Parts: sequence; structure tokens; C-alpha cells
Amino acid sequence: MDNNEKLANVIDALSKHEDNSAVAVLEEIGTNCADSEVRMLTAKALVERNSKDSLSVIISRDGKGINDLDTTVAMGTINNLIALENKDLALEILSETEKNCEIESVKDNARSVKALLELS
Amino acid sequence: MQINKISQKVFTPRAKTTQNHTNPFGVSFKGNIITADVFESAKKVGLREKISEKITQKGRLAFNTVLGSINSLNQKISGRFDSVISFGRRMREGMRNVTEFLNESKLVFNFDSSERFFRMDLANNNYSVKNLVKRDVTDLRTEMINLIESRGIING
Repeated sequence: MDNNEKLANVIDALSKHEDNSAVAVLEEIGTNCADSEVRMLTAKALVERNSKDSLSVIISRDGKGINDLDTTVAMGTINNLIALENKDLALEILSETEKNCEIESVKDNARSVKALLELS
Repeated sequence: MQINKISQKVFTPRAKTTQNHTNPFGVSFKGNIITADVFESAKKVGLREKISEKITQKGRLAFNTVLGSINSLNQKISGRFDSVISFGRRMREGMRNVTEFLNESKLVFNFDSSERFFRMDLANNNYSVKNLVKRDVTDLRTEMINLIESRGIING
């Protein structure tokens, strides 16, 4: 098993970990990583966790998840959100972001992704 | 000879006295045919009783033996069943372990080299997701940082 696979497994394990502090670790290290592949894996892990904390990171934070500057990461995150079986929590957070977020670009992104999720 | 003088015994059915006796000589006593049982001596009767007792005792012994053998057979059969059941359990446990092992293992094909066309990544490592989830989050954090750094990336 090479280091890439090990890293993917560590991120996957953090997404499945019972301890909620795993979300903070993923946000702190994964979403801030210079490597877009790591950010993509981290965003996927946060979407799959499907909790309020984890979805808030990839929806409401500037430069992370759907707001990532790398379009591959942003589009990958949106794809993962569309693939969710239960989208209720994601839609709720998207609505909150659309209403309450102060950053205009984040607000716009949330509105667009919400429309996509509602259509899917 | 008048009919009314004829003894009534003449009209008694002979079959009543002659039926079911085993006396081959037809010896009679006071007009009654003596059956064969009368001739059996006391000695013989006693012998027969003893024989019957012996048979009964032997029967009891045989019955006890049969019972004992049935019990031991039951024990043997149940013992064998227990061993079969424990063997089955061990087999099932083994199969479960093998299944888990194979589920977590991975067959990697290497098309670049003809020498090692494929290799199997064994599951008994610390980096399977199943094992990683059991570890503490702080450990996973350290692990994540080390693995990112090993890719030649300085974390921002």
C-alpha cells in the first residue's frame, strides 16, 4: 500500500470516525492543504459524513468545498452532494447560507447548488 | 333299550372332555380324560420355574445391558455430534476470518513489469479503514500530516 492509498484511507477513516473532532481535523488539515487532490478527498469525506458540522465546512466556508478556487474540487464536491441519499440536511444548510452568509460569492454558490440539488 | 334309560352322559358332547388335552394315551380318571399337565412332576415344575426365573434374570441382565449400551451409544453419538458442531463452528469462524481478510485485501495488477504482474496487498496492516477507525483522532491527525508531508507537500 503506497502513501496515497494510506492517506485516502486515513481521510476515509476520519469521515467514519465516531469522534466529532474528526471534522475539525479534516477542516484544519484537509481543506487547507495545498494539494487539490487532498482537498478533493477531504471534501468527499466531509460530504459522506453528512452531519451539520461537516456540511457547513464544505458549503458555508469561503474557499472550501463548493467554494474552492479549484473548479475540479468545487465541481467534485457538488457531484458528491448530488449523490447523497439524504439531502435534507444539505438543503437546510444551503438555505441558511443563502440567507445569512455575508460573503456574496458564497451566497451565490449556495443558491446555485441548492437549485441543482432540488432539481436532482 | 328305552331311550329314557339311557344315561344323559351319552348325550354330553365328547368333544368337551376330549378337547385340548395332550394326553396321547387317553388315560381317564373317574370318567375324565387326564390332561398331560397332570403328569408333570413337581421336580420338573420346579425346574421350569427356575428356568423361567433364570430367563427372567437373564432377560433383566440383557435388558440392563441393552439399556447401558444404548446410554453409552447415546453418549458416543452426542459426543460425536458435539465434536462435529465444534468443528463446524471452527470452520465458520475460519471462513469468516478468511472473508474479512479477503475483503480488506487488495489485488494489484502491475502492467509495467512482467516479473511481478500482480501482488496482493494484505489486510493485516494498520492502514485499513477498519483498523484506522479504531484509532484516536489525534493519532489520525498526526498520521494525515505525515502522509501529506511524505508527498512533498508542505501543508498550508
